[in-house]
Amino acid sequence: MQIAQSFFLALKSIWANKMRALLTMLGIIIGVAAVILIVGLGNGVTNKVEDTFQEMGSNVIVASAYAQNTSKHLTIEGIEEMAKADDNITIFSPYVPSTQKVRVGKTEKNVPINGITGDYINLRSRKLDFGRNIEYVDESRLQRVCILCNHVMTDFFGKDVDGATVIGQYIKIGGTKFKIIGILNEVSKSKLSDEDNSIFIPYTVAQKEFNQKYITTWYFTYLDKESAKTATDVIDKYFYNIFKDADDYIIIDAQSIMDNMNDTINTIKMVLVAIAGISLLVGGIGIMNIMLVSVTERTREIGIRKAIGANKKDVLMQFVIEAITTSGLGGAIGIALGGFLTSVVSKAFEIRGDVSLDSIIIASGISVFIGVIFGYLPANKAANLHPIDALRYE
Amino acid sequence: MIDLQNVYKIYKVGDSMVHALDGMSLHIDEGEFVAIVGQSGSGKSTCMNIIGCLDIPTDGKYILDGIDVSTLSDEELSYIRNFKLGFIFQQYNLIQKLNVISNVELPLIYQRVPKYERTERAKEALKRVGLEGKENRYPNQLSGGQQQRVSIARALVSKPSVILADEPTGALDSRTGIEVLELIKKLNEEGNTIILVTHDNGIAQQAKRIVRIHDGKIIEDSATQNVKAEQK
Repeated sequence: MQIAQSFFLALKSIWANKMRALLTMLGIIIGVAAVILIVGLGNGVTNKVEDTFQEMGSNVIVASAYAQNTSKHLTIEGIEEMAKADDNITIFSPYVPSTQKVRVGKTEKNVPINGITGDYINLRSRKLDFGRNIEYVDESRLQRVCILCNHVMTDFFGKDVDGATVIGQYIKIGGTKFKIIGILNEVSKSKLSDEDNSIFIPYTVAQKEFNQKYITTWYFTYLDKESAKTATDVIDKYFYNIFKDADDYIIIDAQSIMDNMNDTINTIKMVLVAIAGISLLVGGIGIMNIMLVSVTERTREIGIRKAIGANKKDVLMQFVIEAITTSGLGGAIGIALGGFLTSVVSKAFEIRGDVSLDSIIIASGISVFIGVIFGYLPANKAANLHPIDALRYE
Repeated sequence: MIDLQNVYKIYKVGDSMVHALDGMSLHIDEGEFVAIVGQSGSGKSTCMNIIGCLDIPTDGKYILDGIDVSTLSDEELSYIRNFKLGFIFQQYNLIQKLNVISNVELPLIYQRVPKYERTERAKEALKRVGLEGKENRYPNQLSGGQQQRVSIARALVSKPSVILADEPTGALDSRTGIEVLELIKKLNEEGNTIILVTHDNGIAQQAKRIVRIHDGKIIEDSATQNVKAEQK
């Protein structure tokens, strides 16, 4: 009963002193908005990182060696033997990248051409919308066949083309005719992603056509998260045995990079939240200051209340509730402002900013907590006023 | 009902001790209308504070309704003030932010009286002081006399054992002062015990009994002329 009344009185007095209340709440508003914004954008960056690595594929290891020569080089037979010997590594594919002029009729464009085995498509969890995958015979007989990404198909054959009719048609890659055997689904959200803008051909054909004696890049998948480390170690050991120098090759495990990046992002986020927390502290002190002023201004009111029967607890409650109302209202405004800013900034930076429920709950909790902590001292001062002195106060 | 037994209130001012109340004994029965009169500095305010449970005696006993108030804690004193005492102040002492009915309800809020009953009782108290229909006004929209009536209603609403009026006409012009005094007299006739604290002999004569204080001691305790005249 009294709590409700104190609450409405507090709202009333905030409304009566709008300017002062706003200035009092400003610290809380800024602090809470900053926390919401930082957490929201932090989540956005994490999402972006995850999207990027999702494109690279989960459970994927990429190993590249650029300094190969006749005495130290990788062979598909050697890699296959290594991969088969270890259960942690599931499938692998060579990857022979290049960029070539591609022509259909009058349309000519530079397109990334990647030489692979059929396993690559499975390894990256891609699906064929039409046609078939690259098969062993294509590789061994150096068949000039190719798989187009959906995007590449629409670039050359028009937006509304039916994929089924494209299968079997020919396309000129670097002056040589290739038969289209498959169309890949679209995976990426970003139109600029290589994954959706490439043409895939058998790696043997790529090596021969584009004069690449050695295969520099290899893709592997591992069983599950736990086997990531072992799989990486196995590949590293194999590469080291060939090159005898760790600087000659590089092995990238998407999962561990992503974990590392997320760790870094979280650390940065925590530091920023801590800085924003200082604003909350300053805001709390602001509330305490105004509450002290308010107690002095209302000494007479406190005297009256005590004279007619309010005890210490009643007066304490009244002022604590007033402080909580002020800080809570500041918190609510801060949450709204933080949410708004998160959506604006997310749009500007093209990230998926995400105001999580956690951060809202924590921010609300903290602002109420600040009201209690910083309202207590002034409220206690009010509660301990002696009614006679308080009544005499002018 | 009120029984002060050899009550002392001693303040330390600098090095000297000031005896604001110097061994005062006073007995007031239910239904009485007593005026406590004295010059400023006579100790009448201290006396009123002690009777009003706003302060406790340094020495001696104060028994109110059979309760020894002089030993109570701060919390218990609040409770006694809330349930047993009603205050009327010179400066009305209404809370300006609250409207008339909320001001009158205030003692009942601290008694944890439910909302519905509170409103009923506050309305009834306002009716008794002749302020029907002014429930939603704010104190600054009322005249001094009306504000004092609101504070009387606030003192009445908790049905206290004793109503303490501290210079209730001090801030009013003589005509509204008389009206307020008439209201207080009426309340006494209805059975309320009233203690009126004043420095004005003329006002004190409106009571039925005068207790005159000087230097913290009672120097006169007698029926007023009105009562004496009636008795003849």
